[in-house]
Amino acid sequence: MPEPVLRANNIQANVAPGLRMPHQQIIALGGELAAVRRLVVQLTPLVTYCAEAFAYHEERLEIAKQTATFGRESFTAITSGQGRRWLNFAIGARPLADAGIAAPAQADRSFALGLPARSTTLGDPKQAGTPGHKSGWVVGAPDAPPDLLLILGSDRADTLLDFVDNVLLAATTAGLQLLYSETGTRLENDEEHFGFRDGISQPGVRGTIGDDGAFPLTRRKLAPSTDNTSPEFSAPGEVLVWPGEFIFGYPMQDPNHFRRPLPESAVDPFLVDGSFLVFRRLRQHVGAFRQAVRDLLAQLTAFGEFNDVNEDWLQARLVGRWPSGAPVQVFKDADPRDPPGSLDRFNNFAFRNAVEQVTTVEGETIPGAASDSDGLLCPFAAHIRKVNPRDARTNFGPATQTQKLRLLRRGIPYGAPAKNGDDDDAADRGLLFISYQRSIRGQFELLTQDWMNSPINPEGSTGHDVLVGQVRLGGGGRTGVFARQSAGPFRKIMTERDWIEPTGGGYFFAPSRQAINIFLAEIT
Amino acid sequence: MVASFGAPAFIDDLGPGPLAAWSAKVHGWFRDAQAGLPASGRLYNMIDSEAPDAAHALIPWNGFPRKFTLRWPTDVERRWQTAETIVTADMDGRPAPYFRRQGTGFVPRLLPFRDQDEYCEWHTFRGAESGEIERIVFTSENPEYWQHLAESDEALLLKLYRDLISTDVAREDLFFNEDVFIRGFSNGQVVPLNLNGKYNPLNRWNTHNGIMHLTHPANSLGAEIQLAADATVLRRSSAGDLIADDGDLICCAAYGGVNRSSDPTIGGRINELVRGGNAVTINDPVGLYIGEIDLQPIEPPGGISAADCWKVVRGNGADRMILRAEFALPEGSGFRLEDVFVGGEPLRFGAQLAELVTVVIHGRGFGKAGQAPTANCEAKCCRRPDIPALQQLADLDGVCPDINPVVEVPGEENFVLTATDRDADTVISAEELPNPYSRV
Repeated sequence: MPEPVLRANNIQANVAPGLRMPHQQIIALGGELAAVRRLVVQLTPLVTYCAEAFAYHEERLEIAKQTATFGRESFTAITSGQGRRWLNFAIGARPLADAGIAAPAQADRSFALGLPARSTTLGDPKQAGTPGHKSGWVVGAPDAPPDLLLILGSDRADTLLDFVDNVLLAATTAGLQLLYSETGTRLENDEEHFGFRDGISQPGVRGTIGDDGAFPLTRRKLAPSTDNTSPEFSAPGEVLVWPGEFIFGYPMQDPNHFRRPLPESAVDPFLVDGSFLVFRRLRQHVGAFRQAVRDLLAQLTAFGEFNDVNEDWLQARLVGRWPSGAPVQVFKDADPRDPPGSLDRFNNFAFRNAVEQVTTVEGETIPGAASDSDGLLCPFAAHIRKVNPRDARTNFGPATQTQKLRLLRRGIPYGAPAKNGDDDDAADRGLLFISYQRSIRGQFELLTQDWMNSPINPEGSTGHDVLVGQVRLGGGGRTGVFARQSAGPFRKIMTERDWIEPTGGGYFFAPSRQAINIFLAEIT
Repeated sequence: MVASFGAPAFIDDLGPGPLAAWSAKVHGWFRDAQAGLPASGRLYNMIDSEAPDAAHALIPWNGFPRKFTLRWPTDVERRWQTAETIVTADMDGRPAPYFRRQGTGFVPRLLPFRDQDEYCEWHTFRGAESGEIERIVFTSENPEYWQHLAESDEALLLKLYRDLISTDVAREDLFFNEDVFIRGFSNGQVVPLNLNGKYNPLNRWNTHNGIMHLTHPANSLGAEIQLAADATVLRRSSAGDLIADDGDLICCAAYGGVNRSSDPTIGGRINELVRGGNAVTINDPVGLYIGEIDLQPIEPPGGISAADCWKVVRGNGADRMILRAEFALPEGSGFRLEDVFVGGEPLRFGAQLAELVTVVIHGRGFGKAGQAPTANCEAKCCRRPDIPALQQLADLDGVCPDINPVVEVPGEENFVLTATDRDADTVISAEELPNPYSRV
């Protein structure tokens, strides 16, 4: 089946291909429906859609390739004049319900319930007063649910500041209350605050852009393969997924086949070209993490067969990658730091099956990787394996089903990076986690609650996602399991420290251009 | 090696004689399954052979039926309700394989069961008058064990039913008092076996009015052992390649339910172990087990913890061998179970908890030299045109039906539960009587 032509002037840009701007502001607003509508009327002309962002990023990446600039620097190379002012927004459950628009709540029960109600399901503390409990959140606490979430982006920090001022003025003029406003900044090498490059692995969204469907939304770095039973890749390790998994109104991924689309059921017009947005403000306690790694290392090295490992080795196994992003499954012994070629070198691996060497359409040869079905290279509990088991079966069924639990991650760090030795500083820093998906309940929540926070899912006796999991204390802590040989012994290490603290968030729906008009049309 | 097989979770119901008889039964199922494989087969049993370096492999899957989640991915309420409906035929229209005589042949004797086919079942006990939830009970106990218990110690059977379900249970409630037939064997011939006077595994205290053990026709230990055996055979595609994908394997070998979380996962893992050069088995004590429940999303009222409400009644949680567990508020709490919040909303269905349950089997394997048996495919999968997210097994040379690019979703008014009695009038011969514990 040919890939669908995406309605690129109707889909908000942060859904696909992503704003990706190095400077972003997340703003949460609350107020009456009329005030929400007044602001949306003003924001409508400012919204950035997929087509514009796609054209911009294609040009940026082309220049980046020619000038060998990556990450934040690639924006500098293309920036001119005043800088860009990009805006996307999403609406909470309450204003939609007040407007009589029921489709999003019917499409996702968790959206209707809201993040505060679902917070403990994600592993957040149950006891009020405990760090991370929803009652203490800086945004999205139960008594102050955001009705609108704005995401502003720019390639220039000063432009963003000015843009934010203008939008906040418009918001207050419309009668909305400012609940939260925070700046996110892409860090050097796209690291997160623990010092690991983030965002290397994303699903390759199928679909084309342009009237004649001339441009694939996701660049195809590999020639199409003729094998119809295995996953198809847009780039090494980047599995192509049908767009209906993220955007309403398109074919979804068949749960029983890697390549076949699942026919889309009839979709309410308000949902078409829209997507559910999850926002989680996750504070990262860098000092606590570093200290916990030292404690975990002491536990692990007490087992004779692990007495040769060090902190770098253990941290990399908790993540599944070295700080540069290099996967431990491929780079077993040390961090190569810069990729010996493109970043694709850091993504060409699977867990259950060996992956062959491939050559990209541009002629770069990307080495393959050995299989690791016993978790000897990349432990089952490693963060990247827990949240994306790639080709592995899970407790939800075969590997084809695993492709239906993917997210489009659009997060960005906030706060100043910690310096070495700042273990005890009290600075607030972390990740403004944002993901887009068709189903909050069936994607984001399922992989968080059922995989990250479980000691046995998705692959067996795996241990928790020690890095990001939120297993409550008193329940035996979070465990990681390590082995040198398939038959064991299996060494369990455990921590009761929390270094990721949820401090806010919310569930929203990112409407299409058409849906925004429906939302506003209800005014009359 | 072991001298004998233990009762599931080493539960201590049985005296030495009945326990030895149970071991012999399990041993027999393994040997039958092994006998169906070539001499180079990779299934072993722990009584006859074992290697000192055999390793444990925990195989987990979700307890809530995947078929309902695939069928109603967004309509959570509907799948909760449907999963708790007692039926006489499952979602595909298949009744339990019990029959009554009609003329010279047999027609289905429709008996009730739970359409919960992931080797984990639950029952929501509600007050007769109030309709309020009193407790929710989960089981992974296989029906063969209870059949054995009924044959071994009728008094104990009755005591356990009374202790665990209701003091109102009467002996006659648990045994057939009519002619009901299943497939039996005599002198190597298939013969109808009359169960009149024998234990009725689908009695009302194990269906409409309670729960003691698994009831879905596919949820049996014998079927599980046979699935393990069949999954040890490596499979080749039409192109001659060894099949490694779990979904492709189960469609090719037809060793279980293709729309479940369980069967593709179990079979896929076993086949993977064999592909890796291992002989495999199911660990002693052979059984199906609840591995864990995630209590984190559960918020009881009044300072009560979720752990205070979850009680393992049979088996044990520490070894991930839970046979029976119960969710109820502590006695005298003064609250109702409807006051408990699960995932941010009041508890109304046991299904809300079932979605938090992980079921497991304990696999075991050791390295074994030589070539494992290999076979070509016996079947393939086609999508169901009415629900393309679901598959059905088909003949290799059959043509799969066309799938419309847009599927019409039935509205609330015209929706009909597909579990029907449609086969009730089909007369079959004694030779055609199906195995009471089929896998599909």
